[in-house]
Amino acid sequence: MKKVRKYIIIADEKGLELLRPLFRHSMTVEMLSFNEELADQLARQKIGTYLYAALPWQQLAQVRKWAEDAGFSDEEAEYMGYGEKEQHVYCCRCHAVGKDTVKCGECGLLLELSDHYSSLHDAYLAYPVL
Amino acid sequence: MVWTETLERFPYPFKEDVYRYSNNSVPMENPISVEMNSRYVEEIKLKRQLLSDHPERCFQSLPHSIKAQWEAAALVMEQLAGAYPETFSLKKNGREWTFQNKTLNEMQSFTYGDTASLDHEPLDFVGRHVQEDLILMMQRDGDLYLDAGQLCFPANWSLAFNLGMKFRQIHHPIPGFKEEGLDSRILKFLLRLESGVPWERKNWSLMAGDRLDTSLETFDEWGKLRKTVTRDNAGEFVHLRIEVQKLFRLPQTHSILFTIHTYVISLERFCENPEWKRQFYEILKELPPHITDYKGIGRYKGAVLAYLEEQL
Ligand code: HEM
Ligand SMILES: [Zn+2]
Repeated sequence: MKKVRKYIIIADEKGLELLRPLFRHSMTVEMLSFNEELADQLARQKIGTYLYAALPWQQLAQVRKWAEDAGFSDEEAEYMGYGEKEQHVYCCRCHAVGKDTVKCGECGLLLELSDHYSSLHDAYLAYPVL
Repeated sequence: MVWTETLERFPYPFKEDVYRYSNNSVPMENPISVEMNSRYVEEIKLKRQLLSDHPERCFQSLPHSIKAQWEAAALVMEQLAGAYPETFSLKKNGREWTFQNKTLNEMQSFTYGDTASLDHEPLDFVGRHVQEDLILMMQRDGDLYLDAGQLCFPANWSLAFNLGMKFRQIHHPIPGFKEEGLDSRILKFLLRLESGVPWERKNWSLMAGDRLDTSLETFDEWGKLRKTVTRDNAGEFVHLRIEVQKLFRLPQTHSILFTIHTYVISLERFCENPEWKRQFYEILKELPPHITDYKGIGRYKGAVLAYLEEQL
């Protein structure tokens, strides 16, 4: 028997629009929505399931964390964010997470933002300006 | 903390006259995860001071790492007692263990597996007896996660930031690592690491100054020193920083213990060996900008080359 890959979609209306071009009729798809049960629902999925998530950036970060906890690797998932991007900045000196990309709001260090990302902190690392 | 023993015992890191990133791991000849040298007492003192002044910077763990921490701590204590019986002993009576450190005149009894019987988490406890930094990588879903670590002497990275990260994410800042597929190849190699067959590698860098605790958290203090290197002070002021890194599979929890022993030697001292001086000069002269910049040498590479030329 030929194995049919299962696809999961987590998206709101806007997200679905973004995903539409990626889909073919023959795909076996299950729709899930962003709610409290999602972490458990993801954890119950069989190995090999492929995940598409298209949501506002904030929700997407949460979904990504749940998906990673559930064992979805980067090869088994695609994440699309939209809307205003809340960028979280991790200060290398005092570990405060803020939004200012130039100066740490906590310790005043002048920052240089990098693209080094931690999903645990949901933040990008900022180095000092020397 | 600077190297004062004979040069023969210094862990010279270079093989060829050209240096590139590669998987330079080799099977260990003398399979031990930690090594003691004449700097022991001094470095342990510094380590414990840093741990007490900056606990969140120097120790991090996720709750599910405890079992693997015990396995790592057991391996380190057993190897210490085996390799340095005059200094360390480990007595076991079922789960009731007693670990003794005669150099520091310390004795700790505890129940193996019961973290409440120690003052610190197991990895944090055993790390206070060794010069190495200890990182625990836990394996699941075909990946390795940094789930616990005691790190006092980092080469400009943050344990607190990196906690919970996967192997390839950890190495994301290194230029070319992903593009050349090195990160995936090294990960594959690590996932297959077998217990009883440990590997080691050496990493190197240059630094302005000689401090062991070059944490990212204090980079704004010590990083500035790079601007003050000149041809005239390079010999005394610039130091080579060598990390001897060891990889041990822990069979019960299928995790990996990664130990880092950092050695620091002044350029002047290093150059007492003419062949080392010659080879390092060739390497530095040829080193491409992406590696120079990542290692933070860009600003004073010219001064160091001028110093070396003068010596040759
Ligand atoms: C499994 C345990 C390992 C851990 C926890 C680890 C961790 C790290 C960290 C935190 C950095 C600094 C990254 C930054 O700038 O933020 C680094 C750098 C690096 N790692 Fe690893 N690493 C491990 C194993 C390896 C292995 C087996 C190799 C084999 C080749 C390797 C090669 C490198 C290289 C080449 C660099 C750049 C160093 C430099 O240019 O000075 N790592 N590693
Ligand atoms: Zn700060």
